[in-house]
Amino acid sequence: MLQSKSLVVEGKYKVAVFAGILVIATLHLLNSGYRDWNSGADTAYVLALMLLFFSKEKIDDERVQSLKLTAMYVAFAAGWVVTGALRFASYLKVRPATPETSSANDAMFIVLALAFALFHYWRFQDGRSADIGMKDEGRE
Amino acid sequence: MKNHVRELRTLKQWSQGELAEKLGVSRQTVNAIETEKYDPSLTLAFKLATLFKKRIEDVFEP
Repeated sequence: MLQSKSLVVEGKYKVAVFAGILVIATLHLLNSGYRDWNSGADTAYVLALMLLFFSKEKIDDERVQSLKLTAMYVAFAAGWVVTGALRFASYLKVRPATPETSSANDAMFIVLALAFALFHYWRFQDGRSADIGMKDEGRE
Repeated sequence: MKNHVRELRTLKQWSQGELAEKLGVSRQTVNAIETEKYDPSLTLAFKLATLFKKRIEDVFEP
């Protein structure tokens, strides 16, 4: 009970933290190069994204669970394609954007980031439609 | 699946937020059900039918 309560973070704060992680990770990758990124820092980013994605929503109902699962399915498939493309580009020696190799942590980072973005986009779409519905009825 | 949640809610003069609170779900979830983007679980469907004092087949059409 205490554990589940402590993990509840409001969606808007999660999105802000997510944006922060993406900015820091991108700056880190661009500034220090792929070798430094792959020396352990990537694990921290993956852990942060895992905590964000798997922590409970303020109202953690069945729609949230369903959207999270669908987001994870889609992100896993898309992540597999993206990491495959990165490896292929690396094989073709496309420079300078692609790394030499892609680690499991890189793949997890891509999958989690995609899943998080998809989930919150779909939730935003639900909320947006709700606002339109309220206007139609002249309520709230 | 077609449903009559929006009509029934309007008849009761509840907002989406009020219905969501009674069901223990978020307002976005109620909207997703009303716009037929999401088919609720049997548990939630029964909760909706009970709240509206209707049979489940009067709320949801296959």
